[in-house]
Amino acid sequence: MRCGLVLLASVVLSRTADARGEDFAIELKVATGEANQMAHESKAAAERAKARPQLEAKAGAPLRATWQLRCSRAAEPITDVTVHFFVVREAKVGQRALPKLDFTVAAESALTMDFQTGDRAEGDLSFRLEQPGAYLVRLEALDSKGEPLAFAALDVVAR
Amino acid sequence: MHKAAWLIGIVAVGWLATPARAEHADIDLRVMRVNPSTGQTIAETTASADTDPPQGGLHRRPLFQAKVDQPLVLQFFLTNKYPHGEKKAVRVRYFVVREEKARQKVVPDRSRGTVTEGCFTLNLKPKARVGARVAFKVRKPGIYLLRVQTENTDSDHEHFSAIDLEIK
Repeated sequence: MRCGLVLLASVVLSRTADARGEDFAIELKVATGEANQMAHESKAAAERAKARPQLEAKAGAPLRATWQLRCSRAAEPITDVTVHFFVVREAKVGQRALPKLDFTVAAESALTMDFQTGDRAEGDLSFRLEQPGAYLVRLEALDSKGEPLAFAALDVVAR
Repeated sequence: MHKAAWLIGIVAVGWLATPARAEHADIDLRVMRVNPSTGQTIAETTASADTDPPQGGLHRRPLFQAKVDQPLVLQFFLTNKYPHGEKKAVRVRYFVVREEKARQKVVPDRSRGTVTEGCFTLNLKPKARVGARVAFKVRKPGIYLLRVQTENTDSDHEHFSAIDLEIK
């Protein structure tokens, strides 16, 4: 499954949701007590190659992630979308390969929902990064076959 | 539990081998004490779905024991069993909050602070699934309530699952 996700991540680099007649807007935000950072869904491959937004935090300090996924355009209802959120340690800030989702996952959630134009799902959860290091925070929408429809991501560096 | 197994649990059709029941939600809630170096589960307590009202539910909550600052993981899967159409803007909320005594019926006031919490808002269609897995530590000794609950389901009752944590 993990290998499957890596493959899917590479697939998403070469296709856009627009090509399939659907469009998702994502807002992903992570906040410490003092600062916050936000990421949005990137449709163009060029934008995907950009460095991810980055937030610095204290190891062990409380963090809060909020996200919203909205279907801004769907030619027809998109059924059985999985909205997947995770926070996982990565080897270095901004690495392109998705880290293995192992015991270093600080928080993970998933929900299933059908989307039509205007439908949205929201999430809000607190977590702590107990160990210093770089972490990937990512929200992704996967279709019923597990293929990515959209994602947004940012890095948190815990010191 | 590895990520693969966890996400498969959310995505797979017929993913929970729980028996059929008349309730509107199946909930599998668990709290685990884990080895921080390997993620391996050392101790675990589970709970299933209950209803509110009555306040505090019908079932006696299990009690999980751990020590201050031990690495813990909460995990839940909720499956919507309501078969009659989609419910809009349903919330699925989980939290760990301090309580006065184990198995108290009153849900503590979350506005006074929680150890960890989360909430998801979604259109809940039949067989829809929601799950989360969050690592956390409790930094002060005491009795805490771990609870996941539905909200805004436009029903005369909501569903929840809960475990008490005794932190020494």
